[in-house]
Amino acid sequence: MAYLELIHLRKVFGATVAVESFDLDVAKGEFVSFLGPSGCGKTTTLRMIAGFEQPTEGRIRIDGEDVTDTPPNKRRLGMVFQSYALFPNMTVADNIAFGLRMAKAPAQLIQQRVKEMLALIQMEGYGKRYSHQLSGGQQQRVALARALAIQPRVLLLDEPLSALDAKIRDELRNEIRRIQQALHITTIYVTHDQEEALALSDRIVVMNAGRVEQVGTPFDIYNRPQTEFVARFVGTLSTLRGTAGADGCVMVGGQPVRLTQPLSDKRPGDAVTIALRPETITLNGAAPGDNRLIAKVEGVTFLGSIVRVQLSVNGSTFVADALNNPNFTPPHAGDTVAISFAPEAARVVE
Amino acid sequence: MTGGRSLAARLFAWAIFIVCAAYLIVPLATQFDYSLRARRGEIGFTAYTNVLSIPEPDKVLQVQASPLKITLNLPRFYSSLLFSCLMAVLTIIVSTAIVVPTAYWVHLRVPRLKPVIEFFTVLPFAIPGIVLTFGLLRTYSGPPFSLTNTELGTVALLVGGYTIAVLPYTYRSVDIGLRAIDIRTLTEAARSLGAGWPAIILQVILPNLRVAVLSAALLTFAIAIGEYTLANFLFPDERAFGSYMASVGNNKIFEPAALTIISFVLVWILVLLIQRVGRGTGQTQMTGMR
Ligand SMILES: Nc1ncnc2c1ncn2[C@@H]1O[C@H](COP(=O)(O)OP(=O)(O)OP(=O)(O)O)[C@@H](O)[C@H]1O
Ligand SMILES: [Mg+2]
Repeated sequence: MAYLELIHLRKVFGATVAVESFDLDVAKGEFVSFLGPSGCGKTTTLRMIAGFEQPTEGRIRIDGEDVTDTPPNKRRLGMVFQSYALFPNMTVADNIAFGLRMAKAPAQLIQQRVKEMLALIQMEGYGKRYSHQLSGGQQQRVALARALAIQPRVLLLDEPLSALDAKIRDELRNEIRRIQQALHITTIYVTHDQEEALALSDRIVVMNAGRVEQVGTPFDIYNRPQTEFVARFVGTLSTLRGTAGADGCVMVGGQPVRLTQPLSDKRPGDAVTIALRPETITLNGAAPGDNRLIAKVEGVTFLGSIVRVQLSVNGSTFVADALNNPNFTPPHAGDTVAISFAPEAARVVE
Repeated sequence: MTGGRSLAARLFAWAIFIVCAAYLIVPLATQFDYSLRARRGEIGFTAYTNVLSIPEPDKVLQVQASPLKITLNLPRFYSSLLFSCLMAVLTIIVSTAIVVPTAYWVHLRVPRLKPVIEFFTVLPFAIPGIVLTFGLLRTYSGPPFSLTNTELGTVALLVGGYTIAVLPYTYRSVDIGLRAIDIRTLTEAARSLGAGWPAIILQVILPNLRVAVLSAALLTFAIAIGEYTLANFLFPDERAFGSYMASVGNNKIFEPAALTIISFVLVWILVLLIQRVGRGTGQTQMTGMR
């Protein structure tokens, strides 16, 4: 049975529809991310779960209990904010203890839990510090510990890593996942960073303009996007423009491209756009049955582990990613190269 | 060239500073000098001892020092100061209890009403004290309120009047304090951790407004201690420090000068005390500024 149920949620602010027909079942212990561009309604949905926004329509159930009309301080949920929001007048230990004090827990239990939490976030010895004596990453760890100390039914995080720099972000990302798995806590994680969502989640909810576009595992979302929006938003998409040829081929600059997907509603001569992930395009050597195209190199970007090559065929520009290795000689701008990709890697998009 | 300019600028700044300082210090210095000449041909503290000393028991004025009907045998300097201090403290408590939750709620829930509230809080600047006094007296001295019939009611009226009179300072100071912290997120963090409204205001908002509330309290204290009009009309027995100072000013020659110097020193001690307390919470202030 689902642990957290969002049933047909809808939220309207004046004339803006922020969230529309949002349905989701989250299992106990599951890590679900809300992923989408700015303004798509991620925060609004999270805030409805937390109780800070009242849904215009729909119900929210946690562990079978309808909490739609329960005030936020009675929902027993943990919340972590982008801006950390530690209480500046309290020490780290007092921040972590706050929720337990509100629940009137016995002093001994509070002391013990604070100790456990500090150990969990690997910040023993920081209990007496104030938030302004901590780095951003440390503050967010404390905020996480503070939210977890009350043993919430669901942990809600709203872009918790956005204010941190790249290195700390990666570190804390792994930390969040480790802690989530250790405690087996049901988690909703809001982000607009696809890499974060892919790395952390059991399932991802991709949102666009207030609606759910697709719900699936990171693998599904990346490899089997159901809408063009999902395909474009998650990962990079290389697109090639061509026309439908006879026998189900697509002609790109006079070169035939075979697809596994049937071109059912296209007649020969109609414009067709095909989409590829950059890493499915190979620059050196084709496997039997692969499509082959002659392309012009427009530029080369060295990204460390991968080399990103900007290419053009028949006026469409797109990118191909090659894994870097010492034996690989990257092409130069102006070169003409043969590229290849498997028929099943290419999809027709609108 | 820049050196020359900055020298000129510095000289100019010093000149302004000296003129302003002189404007403030010269009257004080002459008052001080005058206050020392109570005995002809002699420099001494006679005027001060006249004000401060505890006279012989048979000369003690019996003055009720508080609304609690405690009769203290103290010279009027002390009894009136005590009375006004008590009124000032009550005003600080009442105005903090009203202003902090109100300003907080406006910031959190109805920020578009901020200009309206601000307008109302500066009204006491525009309304002369005497108008406020008569307005309060006319409204509350007769039925259905009749507050002035009882000692406690009169005190309530005085404290209420002071609370309004200091509103421009208290609201502004708390408003600035609230702008310096992210109250919306802090409130949500506290709520998600199970806190109700009283706990949020007392344990999260108020402690982070410590510096703002202290500076408001200082101003309130200074104003309430010296206030004359309302105190004198509500307590015609000249119980308040303001009334006492006025009566000394009318009836004595050297003592008013001594009293001026004494109250000046008192206010300075107060300022230093409050700054000391404020600095004790340095980390709150620093994070508040972030
Ligand atoms: N309190 C509010 N009043 C009016 N409109 C709001 C309010 N909160 C959100 N909105 C609107 O609802 C829509 C969704 O906002 P929301 O904050 O949920 O987006 P988001 O996905 O979290 O975006 P971001 O990635 O920028 O944080 C936006 O169009 C926003 O302008
Ligand atoms: Mg958001």
